[in-house]
Formats: sequence, structure tokens, C-alpha cells
Amino acid sequence: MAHRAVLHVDMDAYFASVEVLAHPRWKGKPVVVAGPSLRSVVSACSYEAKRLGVRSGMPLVRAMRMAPEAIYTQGHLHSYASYTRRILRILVGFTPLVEPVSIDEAFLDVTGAPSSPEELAGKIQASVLSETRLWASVGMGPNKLLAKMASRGAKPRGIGRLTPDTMVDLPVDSIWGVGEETGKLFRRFGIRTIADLRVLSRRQLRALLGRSGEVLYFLCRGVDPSPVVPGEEAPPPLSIGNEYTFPHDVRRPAEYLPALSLLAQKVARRARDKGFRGFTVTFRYRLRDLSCHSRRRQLPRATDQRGKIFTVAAGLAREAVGSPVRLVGVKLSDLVPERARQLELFPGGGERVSAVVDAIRRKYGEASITCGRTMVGLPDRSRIPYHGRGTPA
Amino acid sequence: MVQEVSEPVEMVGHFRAGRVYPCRFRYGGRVHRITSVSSCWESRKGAYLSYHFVVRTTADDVFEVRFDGREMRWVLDYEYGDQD
Repeated sequence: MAHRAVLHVDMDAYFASVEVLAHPRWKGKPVVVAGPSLRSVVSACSYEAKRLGVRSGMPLVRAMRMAPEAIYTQGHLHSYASYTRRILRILVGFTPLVEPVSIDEAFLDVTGAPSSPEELAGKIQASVLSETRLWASVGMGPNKLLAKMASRGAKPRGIGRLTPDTMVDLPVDSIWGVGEETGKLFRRFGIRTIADLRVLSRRQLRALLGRSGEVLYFLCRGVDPSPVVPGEEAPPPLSIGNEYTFPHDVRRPAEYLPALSLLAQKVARRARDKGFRGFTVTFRYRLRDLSCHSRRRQLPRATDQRGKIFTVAAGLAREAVGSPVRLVGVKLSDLVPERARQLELFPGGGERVSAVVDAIRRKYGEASITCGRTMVGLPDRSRIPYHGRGTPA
Repeated sequence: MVQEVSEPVEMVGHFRAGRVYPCRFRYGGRVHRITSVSSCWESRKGAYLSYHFVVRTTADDVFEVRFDGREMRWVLDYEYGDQD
């Protein structure tokens, strides 16, 4: 049996690179892509901005202090998604076993391909570049873990390979899934590299980190049996949720209910589009001190209707919100396929309204129809002085 | 400085092998010849697709144009200034 060969294709500074293509005069300049509000975080930045200390996930205000001369623009998701579709079409030309992981990365299983993984990696990088003028880094390995770690090490514009033997000198937090906190914990015990981590027994790791310690025992040995699952065979979602950050903290129901209505509408629409209904509605909120809290309620019958989701979420919010909130979110979980639903003896008109709304939206677009409640009282977002185009999506 | 224009324009373009290639357009009383397409992407509004292009012209100006699939017309969306 042939050894497994997995490639991980990761676009370099993806959002920022797409913005630079759209603004040719920004080439070579530090470019930072962030949300529409000054309270948002950096979504992506060019390598020139990274050299100034800006990082993805950093609060926008901090990035602005760090790199005042950089170009700040808000993201254009439809344009990134359009480029992603083009890139995926290229990747599927090499193998049908392509698993998109996120908007800017994908795994490819090239086991048994007539060309060597190195040759394929080079061809993929060149094809993506010639078709889109965007650079990708490609990692190669005998499984997804090592391919992912290899692409991270190869950035930018590189091709890298990792094996269980060559990974030992890498820092412990380079393992996919080991975050900042776990890395700190290991450093406290003097564990800095993967070789150091391998000294610990399975039992010791379990004592230190619980069940995830057992997983880590295998990961640090380069063992990852997870298959590359093509996009169309992806498992069904566990939940469907949306969040909204207010431009300023709010406390009164009149201030947060329009946002909740908008979120309930989005969640219900996404559930119907995916063909799911959910039994549990969760209301999530973030306070001024950035602490996150949530409350959930189980429904007697699964739903995909905006009205029901909103009523439950609003009830939970009224019970929970006692001090100013910065962010609210609505999530529908315990999903079941729509076709498995129980028929109602006395169906209401809500479903027919949703069907008509969906038909209008599919024909004329997302913004063509909305619930009146979402249009009242939603505060204007404070915009950062963008150099770029457009209005928030 | 990005200037929003949002005006329909007369465009000469190719439609070849399922792709659109803008060539030149008339705007502000001048014909702008496109020398390169810097970026292109699609957007969907309901059932209708639009194709967006950021183009450079012989005068080194940069514009964002769009082929509107619903109205079947070309629209000049933005004119990018020297700093953009």
C-alpha cells in the first residue's frame, strides 16, 4: 500500500493580498483588513504590516497605534469568496479529494498520484499564482497534521515538507491545536520543543491536560489518522449561529432587540438554506470586561422560523442582561434534518411567510426583504476612515 | 481617495469561453483603454451574477467596473485616486 501523501494549501495573507490586487497602488505597502467598526479586530494583514508588528486577531485600535502609516480597509467577503471558488476549481483539477478547511486553506489527498508530492506542490503553487496572481504556501506530509505544520513553516511563498522525524525540533506550540495557553503551561515545565514533549508519557499528558493530553500524545509523534474529507461529504453542522458587535455598549432592550431580531432572521434563513431545524436556542453576550456568557433554552419542537428563535432569544436576553453588553449572539443547535420533522396538526402561517420571503430573497438578494423590527433602532456603526471601497456587507 | 461613480458606461469587451474581458470604455467624454485587469471577482444579488473588474488604463488611471448580469449593462463603480 502506498504511503499517504497529503498537501495543505494555505494562501499567504489572503484577504490583504486580494485587497492589494483590487488596489494596485497598495502593492508593497502595509495593508490591514479589519471589520467595519473601530472596536473590531484585524482580520488579516500584509507581510509589510506584519513587519510593523500587526497581527491577525489584534484589536484594530492597537494595530492603528502600532502602524499608523498602514492602509486600513474593511473586508470584502464576496470578493474573497469569489477568489476562493476559483482556487478550489484549480485544486480539484489536481485531485477530487479536496477538503476546504476555511476560506483560505484546503487539504488535498494526493496518495498514489502519478507525480511526486513535491512536483504537485510546485504545480499547484504555480497554477494558483498564474490564475489568480495570489501566492499560496504548500505543506507536504504523510497526514493532515504534518502537512498543515509544514505549510505554516514554509510561509510566505514556500513549499515545505515535514515527517515525524523532522518535526522534533519545532516549538511545542507549532502543533496544530496547541494554543497560547497550553504553550505557556508547557514552558512552565521547561517543555519547549516537540522532542521535549515526547519525553512525557501518555498518562502524564492526560494528568496535565485531560483527554486532549491523550490526543497530544499522538500528535507530537506525528500521528494523525484523520482522512481528507471532500467538501461535498463534509459532516452536517453542529450548530448555526451569528453574532453582532455594537458600536457602543448597550443595556436597554430597545437597544439590543433589533440586533437580536436581525440575528434570529439570519440564523433561521441559514438553517432553512441548509435544510435543518434546531431544538436549542442559545443567547450569547459579551460584557464590557470582554467576559462571555450564554443562556440556552430547549424547545419542545425543532424550528427554523425567525419568530420562534427571536421570541426565545429575546426572553433569554431579558433574563440575562443586567449590565451593558458589547456583543450579542444567537445560536441554533441540536439540529435535525428538515425532512425528519414532525408534521403539525394546526400549522401556522409563519412557514408560508418564510417560504415567500426565501423566494424573494433568492431572486432579488439578501437585502431585498427584512423584518421591520431590524430596521428600527439599530445603531449606525462607527466607521474607521477607510481608504478602500464600499460599505459593509 | 476612492470616488464613487456608479454610472452606466459604454464598454467594448469580449465574451470568450465563458469569461468576460473588458477592453475599453467611454467616461467623462474620453475613451479609456484598458491595459490590464488587476483583480476580478463575482458577486451575486439573488439570482443575478455581477462580474467586477479593477482595471488600469493607458493613462495609468485605476477604475472598478462591473458587468451587471441582471440589467445586462456595464457600470463604472469607482475611480481610484493616486493614493489608492
